[in-house]
Amino acid sequence: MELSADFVQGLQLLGNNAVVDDVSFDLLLQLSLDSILSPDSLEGSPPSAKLNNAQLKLGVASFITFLLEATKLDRDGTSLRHFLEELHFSEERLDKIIHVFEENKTNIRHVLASISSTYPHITDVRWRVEYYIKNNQLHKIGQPQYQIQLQTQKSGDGDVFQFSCSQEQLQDMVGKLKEACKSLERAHQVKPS
Amino acid sequence: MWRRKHRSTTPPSVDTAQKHLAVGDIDEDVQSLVQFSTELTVEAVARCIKTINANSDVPHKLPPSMSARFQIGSKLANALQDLGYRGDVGYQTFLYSNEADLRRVFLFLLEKLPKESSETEDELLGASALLQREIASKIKLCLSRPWLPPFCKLRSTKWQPTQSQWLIDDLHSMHHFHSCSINYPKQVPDVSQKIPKDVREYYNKMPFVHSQPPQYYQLPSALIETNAKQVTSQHEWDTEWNNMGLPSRLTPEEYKSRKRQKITKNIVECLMKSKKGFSDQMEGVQDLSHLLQTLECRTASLPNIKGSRFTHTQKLQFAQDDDKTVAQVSIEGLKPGREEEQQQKQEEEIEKLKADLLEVTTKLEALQFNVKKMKANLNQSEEKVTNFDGKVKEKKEAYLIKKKAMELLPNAEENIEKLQELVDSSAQRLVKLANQWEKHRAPLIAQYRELKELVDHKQDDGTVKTLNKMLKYYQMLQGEVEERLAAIQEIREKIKTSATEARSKDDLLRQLHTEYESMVKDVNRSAYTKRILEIVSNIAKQKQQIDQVLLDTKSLQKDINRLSGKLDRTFTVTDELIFKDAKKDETIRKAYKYLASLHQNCTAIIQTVEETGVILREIRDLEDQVEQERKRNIQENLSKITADFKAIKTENSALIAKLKKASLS
Repeated sequence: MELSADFVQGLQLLGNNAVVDDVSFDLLLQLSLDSILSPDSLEGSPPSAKLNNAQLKLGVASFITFLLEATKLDRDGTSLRHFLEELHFSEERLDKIIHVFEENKTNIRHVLASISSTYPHITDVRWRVEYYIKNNQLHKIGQPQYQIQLQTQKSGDGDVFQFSCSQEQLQDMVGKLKEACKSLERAHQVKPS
Repeated sequence: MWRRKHRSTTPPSVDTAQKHLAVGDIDEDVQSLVQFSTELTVEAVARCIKTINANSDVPHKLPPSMSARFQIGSKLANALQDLGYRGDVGYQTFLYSNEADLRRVFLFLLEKLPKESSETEDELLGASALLQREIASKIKLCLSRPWLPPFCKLRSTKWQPTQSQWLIDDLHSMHHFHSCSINYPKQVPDVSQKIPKDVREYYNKMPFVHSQPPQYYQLPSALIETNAKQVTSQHEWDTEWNNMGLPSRLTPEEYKSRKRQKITKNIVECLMKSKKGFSDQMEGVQDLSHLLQTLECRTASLPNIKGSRFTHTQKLQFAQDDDKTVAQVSIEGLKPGREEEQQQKQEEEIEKLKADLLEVTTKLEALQFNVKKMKANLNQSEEKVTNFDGKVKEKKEAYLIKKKAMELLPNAEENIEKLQELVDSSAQRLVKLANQWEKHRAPLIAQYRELKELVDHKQDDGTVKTLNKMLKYYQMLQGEVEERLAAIQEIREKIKTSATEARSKDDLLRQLHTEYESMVKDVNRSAYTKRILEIVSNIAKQKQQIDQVLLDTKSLQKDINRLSGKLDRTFTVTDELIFKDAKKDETIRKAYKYLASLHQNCTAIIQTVEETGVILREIRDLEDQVEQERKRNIQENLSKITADFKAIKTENSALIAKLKKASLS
């Protein structure tokens, strides 16, 4: 796990009992966790004036980065312990940090996992069948025509994808969807237990 | 199970063989190898060989024709020998089989079978297989959970509380990786360093990191990006410093400043090359900042009259062009409706302005011309003034002299004498001073020359010596520096390699740990070890028994030898004894004869006993042999062979007949 030199210095500040006393340390831990996990709770209330200090700001930034990098690389408590011991943290603070990390690791990983770029998901479908009687070139076309409207969703806002197709095309599409389902079933039954 | 068969003569059960081979057609009442029919043996052996060695194409079924059967048998035998079977094997082992041979063949084949079924779970799975398994399990998990509407999910996940696993289900709270620049106080940790006051104010007002990105959920992306940027730039600097900086023997700051100079030079050259219109006006512009200033002034707006004379001349040269372009732009921007009127108006305006401009420029030129003239006149007049001043001074001096002369004129002769005396005395004084000066000068010059020589020598010696010392010192230092650099490089490389090794070993440790945990542990080693220990103890006991038996036989043999020796000795003794007295007495002669016959009969008995023993042993051996031969099923096989031989003969004759027919027709 690699942290840049500035952040390593910030972590050292956090471990230094002279710069950061215990009460501030706990407040800082809580602040960092909140800023990752529930940032909307921090929007209204600025942090207390006690923490308005250049060193503590650097410390907070370093600690948040440290948590993010550690969960990104899926480290466990023991390897983090090695890393932090080199930075001369006291045992008590080390234990607190490891405890906090292990408690919230799945949540932080979850937050990190929601950063991604995907295709929109289809959530709903509306269809309509029209009967195609004739057009200007043919006197009689007695074919159904399907209008399909797919509701998609991406990052909270939905969009509508609309198209029309004939019966064969619709059968084609349904067949492809069934194939996709089957391949998914096959994928999760690959290794018999 | 057949593994327990170590010394017993019970035939192996077929169950494990069935499992391994998936031969489904063995009947249930086939319990031992004895009951394997020819087809069954051929099929079993062929399947075994196929599973061991997928390349060999050995057919499973026996065709009805005898010759083909014989060929298949020989093929199977060859395949078996290719696999490394040591015993004597031929087509007869499969077609006309007996139990012992078959057992050996099957044991060999079963050992050679690729160990799949019981040990697939224990195989060390590669990383890709592990990944596939994880993917499969995750997909299963996803498919098994019920659907929830999006407002029921916290951040669009579903939780599985038993294993605290989560699935991201839909895209409600997905967002892209948007990062922004993050500010945080730098150069803060050193508490002893004093931060300047305004910087401290800035740091106090700076918001915390979590309030800086525009959207709160972009904080992780932003922080990860800043960290990654700084780490990579540090790495880049390290590699560049190691590769190019250290050998250049400069301090880091010097190296960076040199690099900066090179880069600015490159920029200036590129800019000069690209813009051709600059060439005649920008010659000699070497500094980048000067170049940028001139570029700025060129694009400055017209009202900016404050410029150097340089820009003023530029403007004058290009002013007309700008005007034209401005005029064109303004003309083209008109609407077509009231265009003509406006055009006319604007044209008139333009012409007025042009005329004004012309007037102004001509006036300006005239004024400048006047200014030049005035300056030239000013210079001329100044020169004149200085000339006049010089002349005035000269004349004043001349006047003063003449005035004095005038004063002195009345007492002309006295004054002339006085003046002459004065002149003489001053001349003498001069001569004296010159002599004195010469006197002083000569030794001083000599001293000066001596000292100069001394100093030169001293300097030469001194300088040469110090130069030599300095050279040596410098060379020593150079050598040391090179050594140190090399050592540093080595150590750096060692650090890197050991770090990578440590990382790889950690990874390996983790992997092995997970594999060990995932490995199935129901293989009961203690049962096997118990069995093995039992077998070993049995063997030890048997060895003891054998030794005992051997001891017994040895002791028996010793007894026999002793007794027979005793017998011989007693016989010779009695023989002699009686023979001595046999000449005298008749009864003693009879007794002697009886003794001799007794001895003979006893030896005959002993011989017959020995012979019976030998014969009993031979009987035992022969019985064993008979048993073995019986197991070989020779009778059956012989009958089969004769039958097959007859069949082959008929087939041959049929084929010959066919050939004849074919050749005839």
